[in-house]
Formats: sequence, C-alpha cells, structure tokens
Amino acid sequence: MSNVNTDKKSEIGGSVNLASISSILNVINAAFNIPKTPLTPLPPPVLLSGSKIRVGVTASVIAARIIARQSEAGMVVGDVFGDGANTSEAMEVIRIEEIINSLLTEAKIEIAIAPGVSVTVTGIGNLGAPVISQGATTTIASGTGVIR
Amino acid sequence: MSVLNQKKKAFGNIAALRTLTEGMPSLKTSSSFPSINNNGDTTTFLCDLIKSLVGYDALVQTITDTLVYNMPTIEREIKNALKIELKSIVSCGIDPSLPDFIKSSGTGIKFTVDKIDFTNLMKIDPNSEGGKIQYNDRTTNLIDSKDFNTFLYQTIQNNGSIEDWGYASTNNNILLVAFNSTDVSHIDPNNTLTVKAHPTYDTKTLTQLNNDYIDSISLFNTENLLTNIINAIFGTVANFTNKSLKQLENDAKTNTVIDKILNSDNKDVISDKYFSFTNEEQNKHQEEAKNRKAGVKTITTSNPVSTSISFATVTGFNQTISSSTTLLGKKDAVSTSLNQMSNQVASAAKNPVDHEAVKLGFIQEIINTITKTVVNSILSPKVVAIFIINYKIIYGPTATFNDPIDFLKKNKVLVHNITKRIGGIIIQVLLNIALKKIAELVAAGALKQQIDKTQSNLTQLLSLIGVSQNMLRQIKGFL
Repeated sequence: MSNVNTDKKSEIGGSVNLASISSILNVINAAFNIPKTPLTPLPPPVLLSGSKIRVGVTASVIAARIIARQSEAGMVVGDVFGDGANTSEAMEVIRIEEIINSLLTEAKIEIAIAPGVSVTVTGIGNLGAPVISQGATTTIASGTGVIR
Repeated sequence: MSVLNQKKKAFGNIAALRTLTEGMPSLKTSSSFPSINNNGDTTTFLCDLIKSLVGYDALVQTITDTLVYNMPTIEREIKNALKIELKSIVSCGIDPSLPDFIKSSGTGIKFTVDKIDFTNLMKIDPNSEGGKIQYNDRTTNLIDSKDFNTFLYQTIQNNGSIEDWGYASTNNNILLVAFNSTDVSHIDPNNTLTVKAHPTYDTKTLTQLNNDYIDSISLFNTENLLTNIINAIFGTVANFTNKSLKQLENDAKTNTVIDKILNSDNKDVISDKYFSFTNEEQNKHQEEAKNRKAGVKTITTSNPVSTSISFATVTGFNQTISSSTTLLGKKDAVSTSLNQMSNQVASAAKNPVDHEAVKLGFIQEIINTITKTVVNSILSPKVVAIFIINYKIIYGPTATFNDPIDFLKKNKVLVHNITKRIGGIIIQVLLNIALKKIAELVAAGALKQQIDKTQSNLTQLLSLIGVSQNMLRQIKGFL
C-alpha cells in the first residue's frame, strides 16, 4: 500500500527556484565569474634600466599595426573599388590618434610607494668621522609621472 | 536589473568568453534568439542559451536525457500529483471508507465510455497500425495487459463480461470493470461502463484504492511519448487515423490551457479566464486543427514552408526505440530518430542556408512540446476513469466531465501542479547542460587569460632588456 506525503516538497532543482526566470538568470550569470590572480611585480632593477631604452608610443605606428591586422577580423583592407576610400581605416587612424594624444598630453600617472623601503644614510659624526645608519621608510610616499 | 538586461548580460558573457577563447566574436543576439525579451519563458531562454553555447547537438541531448533517463522521475512526479489531488477530493467527503454501492456486492459506478475517452482512443484497435503506437502494452489477449487503456479496450470488446483489473501490473486485483453496449432494462444508457471495487478492497478506504490504482497504471513509455510529441506538432497520427476537426480543435484548446498555466507564475490564481478563449485564440485553434488534420506544419524561413513527418517514419522510430532493451540503446535510437526527422523537416526548406535554422527550430519545438504532451497524458481514459469514480462518490451519480477542458477546469490545481513539476524537470535538464557548457567555456577562458598574462609578463620583461618589437610581436602571436 502506498501512501502520499502531501507535505513533502519536490526535490527537483534543489535551492534554485526553477519556476522563476530571475532565479535561473542569477545562477547562469554567476557561473561566468572567472577567478582573478594578482600580477607578478616586475623586478625593480630591470624596470629601472629597461625603461631607459623604451621608444615610446606613437599613434601612427599603432594605427598602422591595427590596419595591417584588420583582415584577421574579416574586414576589408585597403580601398574598395567603387566605394571610394576605406572610411573604416580612416576612422581607425582618428581613433588611435585621439586616444594616444590624450594619453600623451593629458594623462597623469600617480604612484604610491608603500612604507618599509630599506634606506642607508651616511653622515658626519661629532668627531668628524663618517656615520652610516640603516633603516626603512615609515610613511607612504607618492610620486607623479607622464606617459611617453 | 530587468529580465531583458539579465538575459543580454548572459549572452554578452558568452560572446566575451568566445571572443577570448576563439579569437573573434561569432555570436549574434538577433531574431534567431527569440527569448531576448522580458518574457518569463525559461525553457525558450535556456534553449537559446544552449544554442549559442554549443548548438544543435546539445539540444538533441536535452531531449534524449528527458525522454530516456528522466522518464521514471516524470512518471513518479505525475503519480504523486495524482495521488495528492485524489486525496484532496476524498477529503471533501465525510466518510473516507468505500461506500456500499462501489463495493464488490454493490451496483457499481456507471458512466458512458465517452465521459472518460475524450480522444476516441477506444475506437482504435491496439493491434492496428495506429493502435500499436498509442497503447503502451499489447499482449496476445489484451485483457491481461499492464496498460489499463488496452485492458479497457478489450473489456469493451468482451461486452457484458466482468473483468478484473490490477493483477497483471501489481499481482493484486483492484477493480471489477464491465461494459454493456445496451441495457435490456433500459435504465442505463448505451455503452455504459460499470466499475466496482474488487472484494479485497471492500474493507479498505477510498484513498487506499486510489493509491493502489495509480500505482497499477503505466503512464508513459519513451517511444509513445515521442510519437505523441511528433503528433502534437505535425498531426501525423491524427492524419493517419482521420481524427475529426472537432477533436483536433479540442486538442488545440487543451494545449492553449496548458500553455497559459505553464507560463503563469507560481503565485497566480488559476481563474476561469485560463479556460476561456479569445476570438484570436479560437481562430488559431481552427488553423492548427486544419493543419494537423492534413498532417502538416508551416515553418517560416526565408519563405513559409510546409513540412511533415510521415506515418511510416513515426512507426519506424517507434519500433526501433521499443525494441531497444537498454537505456543506452534507447538513447541512441531516440538520438538517431531525431536527427533523421530534423533532416527530413529541413529538406523542405529550398534554400540550404535555412537548413540549420529549421533543424534548430524543430528540436526546440519538440522541447517546448514535451510538457504539453506529458500533461495531455492525464486526459487518457486510464487517468480520467479514477477521477470520475471519485467525483461520482463524492458529488453524486450525476457528477461528470463534459469534455477535456471541463476536466482540466475541475482539476485545475492538479494541472497547475503537474505542469510546474514537469516544466521543472525539463528546465533542470536544460540548466544542467547550459551550466556544464558554461563551465567548459569559463575554464577555457580562465586558461586563456592566464596564458595571456604570462605571455604579457614575459614580453614586458624582454622589452626592458632590449628585445626588438618584431620579436616581441612574434612571441605574442601577432601576425
């Protein structure tokens, strides 16, 4: 003889409300999250020496590289017969010129240096002898820069 | 965030990840994704999502998983819902024990065949071509079938004889059923069925009889459910068995009611408006009835195209699936049948460009029709019979169901419950596939991001020690 437990709720779906589109959408959109890992810092001595040999950014060079690669995205390269000049390429040049111009002439870089940077200080003592002291910075330092 | 924006966000995430992993965007959220709206139709949205993630094959997998692996769950869920509904009907009565008139020594409960057979199934011989794909179990004598419908058909043929129901499926006789085409005393109408409890149930309660009866019947099998789905879409069996336009209009009305309940919110009250139809709906019912009687369905591609699935195709896949003895064999048979049918439907579109869209549309239509077909199964004589018995016990001998809509209306809580349960099972299958494919895409995206990050770190370091830009671009894979 079978009996029915009328109080028992359906187990289908677990904690997700399958009757609600919003509940389903929340589950779906949450599934797209990719865990992010922080960047590995560049070694400071390499950064210091290497930055001196950087050539800097140039709008025309970037635009030329993009136009050279646009066939990878299935876009027409060069002028199309009968349609005149390739306006999308012209637009690409304008876009890059404006972005790079703004970055070079308007952007500002602000840096913050965490406390704890090791410092070695030399000075002259009361008897005229050199004194060397070692320590670490205790406050956050800041600095500014521009993009080249 | 609105439902529309949340849907766009999901498709946007897929586009972004595919761009990340495949290089360039390949997804268009255009009219080919009909779910991009504020509509709460979860099934269509998930189908669109799966189409955008992997396409046709995953949708076929959804159907095979549902029709092969989830059949026991679907059957159990419906039987639970039926038992709960019957119990609620019984609780309306004062005395839960069997009344004397239904006991084995009583006069029995009487009703004409047409009050439980809304689709005229009892006019179709189980051994005929049309019958083979509509009755779940056909034995040599039919009367010892495990399918109550087959048993009932043979009881009708054995005019005047009292037959026992229950032993074949449960080793336990539950009901005594007799059919009389004419009553010599002219008291009962022609074609009357008389149902009594088997003597072993004389001392039991009505709920015990109900529960044991529900356990004794078999609601579905994979091959007949798929047959019914194809019939619901194309009218293949209706065309072969020459169903009347009136019957087909009733089918369309029933499907409209189920659709309305399916798209209702859980908190909505199922009012009478769910069971009445606007002029526009009635016109649509007539149009659908005409098309199904002709055995065709019009699909819209570049141009409207009339498609059909032949009766030979339907009987062919029905036999192939039923002859498979393992679940894996059934799964392969269902999958092969679906592919053959979708190719058959797609071939009707003259422009080859439309073929893929037609195949996707066909498979999505099957998914959308599964719930309707399953809910339609409660309109079968084997289910309606036990409900009419209970209605007559509780509300008196004149209580009856006029037509399928009347049955759905009087059992609207049951229909709502079953619709949501079955809809939930299908949504669960779709959601599992979508989440699995999203997980694969996200994993590929995370790997690509990590490779990019490592490559960028390397090229940045190399740039600081004077490696040329050309060399760096080669390392990054730029042409």
